[in-house]
Amino acid sequence: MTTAQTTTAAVSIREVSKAFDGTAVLNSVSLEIRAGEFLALLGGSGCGKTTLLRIIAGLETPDQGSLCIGGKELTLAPPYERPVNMMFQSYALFPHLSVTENIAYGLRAAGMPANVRNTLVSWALKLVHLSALGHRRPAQLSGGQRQRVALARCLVKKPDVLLLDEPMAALDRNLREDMQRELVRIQREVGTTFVLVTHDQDEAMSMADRIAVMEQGKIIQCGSPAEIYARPESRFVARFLGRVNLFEGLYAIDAAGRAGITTAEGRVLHVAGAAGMDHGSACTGAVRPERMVLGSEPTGCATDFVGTVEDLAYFGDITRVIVRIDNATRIEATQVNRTGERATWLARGSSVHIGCEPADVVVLLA
Amino acid sequence: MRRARPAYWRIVSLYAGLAFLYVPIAWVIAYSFSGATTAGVWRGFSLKWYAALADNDALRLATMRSLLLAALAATLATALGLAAGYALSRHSHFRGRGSLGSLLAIPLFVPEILIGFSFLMLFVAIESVTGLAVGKGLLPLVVGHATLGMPVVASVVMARLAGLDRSYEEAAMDLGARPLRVFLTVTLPLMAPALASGWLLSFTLSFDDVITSSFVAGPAFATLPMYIYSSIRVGVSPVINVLGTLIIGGVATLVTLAMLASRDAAGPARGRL
Repeated sequence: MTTAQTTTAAVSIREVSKAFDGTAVLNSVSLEIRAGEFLALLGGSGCGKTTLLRIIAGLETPDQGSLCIGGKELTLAPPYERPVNMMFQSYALFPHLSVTENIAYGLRAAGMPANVRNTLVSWALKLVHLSALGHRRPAQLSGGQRQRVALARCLVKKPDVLLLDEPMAALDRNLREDMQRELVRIQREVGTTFVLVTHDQDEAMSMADRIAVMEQGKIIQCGSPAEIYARPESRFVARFLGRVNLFEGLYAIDAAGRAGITTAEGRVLHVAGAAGMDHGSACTGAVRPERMVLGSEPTGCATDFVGTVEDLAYFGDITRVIVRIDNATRIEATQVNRTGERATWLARGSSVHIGCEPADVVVLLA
Repeated sequence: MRRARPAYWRIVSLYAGLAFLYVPIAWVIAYSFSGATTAGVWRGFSLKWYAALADNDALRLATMRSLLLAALAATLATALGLAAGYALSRHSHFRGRGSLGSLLAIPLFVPEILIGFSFLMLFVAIESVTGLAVGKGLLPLVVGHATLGMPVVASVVMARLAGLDRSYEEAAMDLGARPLRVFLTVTLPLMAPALASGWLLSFTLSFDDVITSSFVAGPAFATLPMYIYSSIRVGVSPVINVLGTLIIGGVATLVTLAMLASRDAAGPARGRL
């Protein structure tokens, strides 16, 4: 049981809706963001994730619903009266001010005396490892340095919640992973609640404590990265986070009492019993490629299909294998390359067995 | 690698164009150093007309008046144009926004002689109703000339704001700044290059204006262009060449400064990512 202090949500969003020019962007969204957690709002473009972030920041007002930050109702409060700060996708560093002045901007607006201001600014510069560059203008910084300044400018205000809008979008690939780790380090160090908006599932998975997956203005699933990956509740979530094999069919329980999904081709994918599922109802079985077992002999799994290797893609650490089991069905399997050489039986065009255990199948409605 | 052959006709046309623009100006500058008593006649190098200008109180006074007038009118035009341009581009949802925007642009296309005449009528009417002698001197000139510059400033401001990422202002608000502070510490500095060029354009419009001035300036408050215009009718003195040279020098300096300023300010403001 959690203590009274931690049960207070940092942000609680209740049935928030928002439309722009008659087009619904958010559709009755409710979400509790826990104090101190790193939450990712994950979704494709136009799913409403940025709008939700801007509503928390106060840059948009919801048409309906309410918003509490730190237990205080702030649905209609202007941005400058909220204990949250936002890091913009473009960073929005003031080009006419130096790094130090940028970071001090929010403190100055709060009327903080110069000596307190200076102490806080040097703390923030140190936190993001930029102490030597305080005098520079934003135009004289690299992309990664600009991102650090934007972060310092927010954190120096010691907000209850830090909002990050696609923070990695403007960085090149190599820098991205470094900055992801750096952000997580900083979040641990300051203990502030972070809310990250991203369309990049890897980013959400590697950084966040919890992910809220959004689609068409709704949060369709919310949970830890492992929960969402292992137990997706819909085909959309299963597909959006990582790769997945989907088997459509009818739920069936055979004479021996074993549950399975019978596909249109008459194959049976054995599944662990799914609660609330009736015999004969349409459903989809989802299996991650790394859960698929490949072999030249029968795999010994409850489900075992025979197929032909259609494609092999070598990635160094892993090999992705596409196995065709009939004209309509292709299954992807991921093999970890433990030894330098690939098994000789695994070649394009060779006949293989591919299988999985009931526990590896997630049963999805329809 | 093959080097591109220079296109000679392009270079010739460039110089022809520049000559078209600058020969008359060079002419004025050259003849300001002539010793002749008539403008446009060469009679040996001399600085005597520079000395004559220094002694010509009426001309000096008219120049000072025009500079003061242009500075005041440009400042008023910049303030009003900033307010109008800001309101039109940053507060996009109020009634009559579209028609107000058009109303702002129309004075740019109305013949100036009509604007001058309508100011004259307005000031006469105000004077006859209130008895205040507003229709003479500096005040009506400032108001009249600001009218010329304001639409220009407003359009420059709107163009700049349209290209200015809103997230700067949003970030400032998010960091705790109230709207007035956001405007003063973020919007205004980011618009400085636009305001500077708007101010300079208004200054120029006012400084060389004859038409509006002729309607609203009293005879006791002749501006420099009015003085030059009226002096031509009694024969052009070489002093005008000297004055022209000084003005060209001043304008060249201002334009150079404005370009340097806008280069400094616009560089980082473009927000390279």
